[in-house]
Amino acid sequence: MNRLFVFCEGPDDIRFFEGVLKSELREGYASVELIAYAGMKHIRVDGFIRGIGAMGDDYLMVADIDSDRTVKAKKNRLKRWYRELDTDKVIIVIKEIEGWYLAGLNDHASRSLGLRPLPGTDRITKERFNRMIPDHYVSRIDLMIEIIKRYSIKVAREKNRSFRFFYWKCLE
Amino acid sequence: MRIKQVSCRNFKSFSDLTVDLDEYNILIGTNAAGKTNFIRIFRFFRDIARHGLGNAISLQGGAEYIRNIRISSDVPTEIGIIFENELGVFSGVRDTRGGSHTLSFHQIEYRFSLQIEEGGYRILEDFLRISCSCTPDLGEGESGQGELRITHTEDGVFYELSTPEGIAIEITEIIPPYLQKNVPRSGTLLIENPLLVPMPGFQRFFAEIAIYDFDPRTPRKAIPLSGRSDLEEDGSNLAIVLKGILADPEKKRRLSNLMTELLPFVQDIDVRKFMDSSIYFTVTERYGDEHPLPSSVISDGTVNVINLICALYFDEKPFIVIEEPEKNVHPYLIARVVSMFGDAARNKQILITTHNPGVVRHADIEDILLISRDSAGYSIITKPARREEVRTFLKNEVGIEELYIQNLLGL
Repeated sequence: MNRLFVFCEGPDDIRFFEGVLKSELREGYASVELIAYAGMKHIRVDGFIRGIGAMGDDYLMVADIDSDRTVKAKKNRLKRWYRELDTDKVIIVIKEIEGWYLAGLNDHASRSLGLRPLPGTDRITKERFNRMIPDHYVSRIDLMIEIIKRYSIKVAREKNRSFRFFYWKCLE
Repeated sequence: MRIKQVSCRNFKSFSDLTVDLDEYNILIGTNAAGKTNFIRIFRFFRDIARHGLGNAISLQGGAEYIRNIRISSDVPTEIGIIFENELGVFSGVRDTRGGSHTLSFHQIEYRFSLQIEEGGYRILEDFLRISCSCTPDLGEGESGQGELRITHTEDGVFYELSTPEGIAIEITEIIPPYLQKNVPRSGTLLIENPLLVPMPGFQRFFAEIAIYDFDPRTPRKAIPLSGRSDLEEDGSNLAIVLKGILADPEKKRRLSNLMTELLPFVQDIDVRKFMDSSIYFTVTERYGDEHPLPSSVISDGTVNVINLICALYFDEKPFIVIEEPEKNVHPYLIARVVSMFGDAARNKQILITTHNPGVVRHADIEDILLISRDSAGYSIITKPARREEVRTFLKNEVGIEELYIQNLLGL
């Protein structure tokens, strides 16, 4: 059985994959390993990808769409940065990982955290998430961990299109 | 309260320094560049407010160690600080025509200078400027800017109020005459005399500056039940701090979450009494068969991380300095620790000192302050983000940590 390596941008993505998706992704793999690639030199990311391929293991790269207008444009940008990257293995988060966090909350869970229930989270950015943090949370990390405790993948599939695509591609 | 700027002249290794601070600041530099001396500026202010100028000078090693020995002895030592934010409001202040105004104070500039002399010191200047906006209470007319200047000399304390054009307010509206006649004890500064400054909490701004340099060994020991409830500089009273946190269900929940972020193998943390006289804490690990480990056998890294979380999230101080907070922390966790600094800085101002390239790598370059020595050997502080050469290297995929390791951030 081979391993799955997931390239995550930073601590917020790592926390999300660790808390919500790692156990789901584990099916069919000996283990799931997370690699934080934000700030890592492009050549080093390429080295990881080559090494993973040489070991016969699998990988995914998760990236926010950021300022790019389309998924294709973002994938092309990543391909320019990482020459070894197979763009079929790229998962684009729209717009940012904070949207995937909020997507997994049903109305009851949102209210229990002091958050306004959202019908969809495709437009959530880091800044918008930060503005939504209830006053009684002195830490956004604390809030994110509370969201993970209440997370429903089923609800997330309904509220975020990029999460739905990820689910269809990697978990269904 | 937020510290906007600090400055000094002829203090320790600094000749002339002015530094703007953000919510979150990471101070880096080679050994002996002056990091500790920069922290001493804050320590000096804090000690003056807590213990008085004489004791604060003594805590710095004596008057002869305050100034830079390479600078002529007749050059005074000057230290200044600027605070900003909503600092207080005076409502119902009457002008000379009977109109009522609200003064909202938003910036404090404080500075003092000392002449260091053989075996002692003399206060040359002691000055406070409080900037405010002045708004008519009944909505008649526009808001304008004003300021209150307080000058302390050998002859006494003098107050001067500037108000927007067309509005005249007598100083007695703000400072009652009996307080204006107060004379501070000789050799003391305004920040030691709260009655001289019409701003509640002015002294506290300085006294609450918290500086941490955690020692992982001291918190492991059982300590007396009676002790301070806020974290000591070395973290030695961690058990008492944890006792307070664990007694509050909401704080306990938050602590548990934040511990999970950095120490996922820790299942529970608790405090225990020993012989009704001392207290220590325990940690239960996920793989430890529910068996709590006493603090005396817990690793340096775990103790340091718990201290760090307490300082960042449970200390009520508005400005904290943490020296080398990443001590004993695994490189994999450094990104999470750096992310915690940014997270905690939403509620308090933070200054971190570090030598760790991992911290530098995961930091935003805009948050980094570089301390180095100039050609004359004086400490200077610059922002690498403002240097074109550094920007050029970053554009060409030379990592910031690589520039730091090669000592090229000061180019």
